[in-house]
Amino acid sequence: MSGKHAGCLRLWFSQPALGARDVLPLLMSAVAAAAVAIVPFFAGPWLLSAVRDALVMGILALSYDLLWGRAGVLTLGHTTFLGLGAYGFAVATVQFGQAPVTGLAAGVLCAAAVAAVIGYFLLFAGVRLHFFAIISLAVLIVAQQLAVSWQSVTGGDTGILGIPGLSFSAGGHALDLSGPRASWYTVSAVLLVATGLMWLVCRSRYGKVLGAIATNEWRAKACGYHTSFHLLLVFVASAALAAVAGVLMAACSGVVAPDVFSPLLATEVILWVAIGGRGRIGGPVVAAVTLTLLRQTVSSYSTDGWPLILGGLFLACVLFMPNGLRLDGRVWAALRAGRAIWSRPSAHRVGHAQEKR
Amino acid sequence: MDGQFLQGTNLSRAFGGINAVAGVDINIRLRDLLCVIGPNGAGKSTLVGLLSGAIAPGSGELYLDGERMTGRPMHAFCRCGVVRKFQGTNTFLTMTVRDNLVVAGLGVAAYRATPMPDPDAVLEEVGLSGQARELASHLPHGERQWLEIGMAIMCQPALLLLDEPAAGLSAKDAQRLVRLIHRLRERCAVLAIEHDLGFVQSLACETWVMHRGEVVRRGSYAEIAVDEEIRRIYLGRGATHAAH
Repeated sequence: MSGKHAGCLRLWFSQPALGARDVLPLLMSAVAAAAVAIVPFFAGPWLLSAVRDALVMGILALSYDLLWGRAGVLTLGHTTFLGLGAYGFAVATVQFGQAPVTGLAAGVLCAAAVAAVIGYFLLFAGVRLHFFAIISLAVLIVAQQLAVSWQSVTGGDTGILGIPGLSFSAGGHALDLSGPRASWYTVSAVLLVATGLMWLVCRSRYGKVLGAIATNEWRAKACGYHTSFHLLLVFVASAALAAVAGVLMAACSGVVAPDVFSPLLATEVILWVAIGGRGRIGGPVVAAVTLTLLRQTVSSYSTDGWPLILGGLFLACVLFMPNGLRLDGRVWAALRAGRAIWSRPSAHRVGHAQEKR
Repeated sequence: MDGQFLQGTNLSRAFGGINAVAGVDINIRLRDLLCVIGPNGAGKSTLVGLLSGAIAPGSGELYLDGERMTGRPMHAFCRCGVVRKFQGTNTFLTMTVRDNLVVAGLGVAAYRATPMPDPDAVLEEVGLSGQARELASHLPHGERQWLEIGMAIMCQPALLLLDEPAAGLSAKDAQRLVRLIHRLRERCAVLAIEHDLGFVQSLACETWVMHRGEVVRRGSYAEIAVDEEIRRIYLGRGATHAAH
């Protein structure tokens, strides 16, 4: 039986040989890893914490890209799971005095369980597309109301303050990840590992199956796929990753308030993935980090400006870049254009030579 | 089991008061080859929908290999070996031709924990080796038909349901398809729905005629072709040239 399962896993997740396509992602991840390692030695504590918070949003964007970009499930309430992760961690550590590890488990399990229940009832009943999106928005608003009104547990409008940072202890050794540098490395390690895992899953055959379900679910069913089950699996995985982002957010900032459930942030998540390019590894993360830093900058001048900019960006994205920015595609196009210009004079000369002959 | 693969009794399905399929009994043994013909709206595609699990029957029972399948979802039918080629074409347009085949083969192979058929061999079989890296959306209609057939082969069918396989194929390609179907028959049963009577004639197999949701004639193509009643149903009264 276990042999059968191992064979199955190999069938799903076996990796194709490395090719020219993989050079860019590998190069980019190496550069990103190097940058992440060096930055704390140059950046001041304020900048470091600002970028770290932006990287947490990068994890959130990654989780949404798995759901919308890879499996084609559009939701308007993805931050439900970010909030559940954050509140799960905060309630477990502050209200119940548990260790941060327990808080981490509580946050992630809570979000995954909610996603599993909602996803089971919606996806297995065939709810898709905008119907699913609207219901997910309703779930987000319910969660927000709960966070505001269940004061004894969630702290109401003020939320929960004094959340401890992440730390692990096992066998007498303690690993404290709450300092500025330690939390920076924790967040970036989680982001890099999650990105790498998703890259591996998506370049395997399973990624192709997800792509197939996203393009033509009916046909995938006719090929023998239990598509609702696969979508549920992705939904739960995506919720768990969003909850990890939520836990990191709560642990890094030390506070959690009901505004994590705000529809504005949920819209921003969609925008990150749309601008970064659906299903493009790295794109949504870069977009999330950049736009979050931009938001922090804009908000320091004016608090009203950001929603306006966000709306403008969304409109521009839908009208002019339905497939996202696709920076790498643009680089290739520029290279090709450059090569064409470079080779034109020589082609000209060849033409002349032939005429003479 | 005496080689009996699919058994349907009294299969019916109505859409808005119109009986698309009304009380069809069907038995298919392994390695049967069967053609269903009939005028537009006779219920042929609905019959394929019922047999492939895409449409649940309004009444009647369906058994595959002795297992009751009435009302089961479509992916369960595919896992049991009933594989369908859709009318028109229905592929994963954003993916390459080869990836289409890989995805098509993986679902069943993973479920049965068996290795999947070699996609390159199937590409060879349907004549798309040269287009393996093309996006499916870039293929012309005729080649998408071949891709669909290739995807169906990748699902390791025990019963292959072909919904208008020759539509959009040139006469030469249609003959190639006839040869492929005869080769496939060594592995599985084939049920084809077709409008093109020339194609049905060259398959030279058992032929059923459907009319208003019922199977009105069962016999060899030669018998069907000379049946005056069938000519009347199929070509309409006053048709001067019978098909072949």
